Amino acid sequence: MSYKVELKQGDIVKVKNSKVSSITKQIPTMSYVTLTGSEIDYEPEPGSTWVIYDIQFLAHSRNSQHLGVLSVLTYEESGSESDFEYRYTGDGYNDGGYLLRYKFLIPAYTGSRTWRFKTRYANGTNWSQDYHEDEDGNQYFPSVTMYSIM
Amino acid sequence: MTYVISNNSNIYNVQAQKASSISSQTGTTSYQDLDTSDITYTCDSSASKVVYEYTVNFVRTSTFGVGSAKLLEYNTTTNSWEDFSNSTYASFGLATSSGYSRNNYTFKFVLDSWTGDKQLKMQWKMATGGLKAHHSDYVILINNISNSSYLIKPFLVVYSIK
Repeated sequence: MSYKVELKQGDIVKVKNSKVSSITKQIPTMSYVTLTGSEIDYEPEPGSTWVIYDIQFLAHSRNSQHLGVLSVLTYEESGSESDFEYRYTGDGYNDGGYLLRYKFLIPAYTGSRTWRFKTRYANGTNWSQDYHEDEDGNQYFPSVTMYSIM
Repeated sequence: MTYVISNNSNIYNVQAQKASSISSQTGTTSYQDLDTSDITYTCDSSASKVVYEYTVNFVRTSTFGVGSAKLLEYNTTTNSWEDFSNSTYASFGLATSSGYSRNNYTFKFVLDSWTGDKQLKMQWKMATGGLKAHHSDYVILINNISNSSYLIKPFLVVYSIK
């Protein structure tokens, strides 16, 4: 005896989360580095139309001046890495602290890919930020959710 | 023997759409439509709520900028667009001098359900300063090339909750 789940158009299926069990402050560089907790292997449900990658993490201005989160969602497939989409969150003279959430709507694909959210800064440390801790050293766990839309 | 069972998620009827191409849109003091935010969504009697989530990028055109956005519905009796309610407005950006606002936003509205079709869309305008939609300001590609014309395609996800 076996069971088969009947999926309909518009269903959300194959929900997968990536969440770290511990975290420390992460300091970006002038080159793209994978944000801690952002990596996830995901194979869409066959027959799905879209896939969502949804990430949330904490960032605050490093030197109490500006913020410049340059970022890219990448995927690795068959040993080759490609960029999917870029984001840029920035402010000036604001000493900004942000609970950043980025959603990506990805056309469904076949097979498994390893997704990574990578960030860097651009214009010197006054335009950079620290991740996962607030200015008092309190931590926020980054989290990623992926799912398929039928 | 194989038994077929229904998917029992309380989130269902998910509709998603994404711009296939996009141009930047400069904010004005009058409301303008937001690209790809327009949808006709069919709600069934099982739904208690409908969630409308629109993701879009706004960046500065001057040193600062604050925008206003709102959700609208199409009134099929008057054949005109109306504000969905007085609680489906949002503002975004930075008014700080030299605030250089650049960010990606997901506007999320949780709406009471309805039966049948309803057409929804979003509009935005400037409250102060200058912003443009869909532009990124600039990005640095993974091959280290800077791209100051990079555009971010908006998308919409709407779903029902039982």
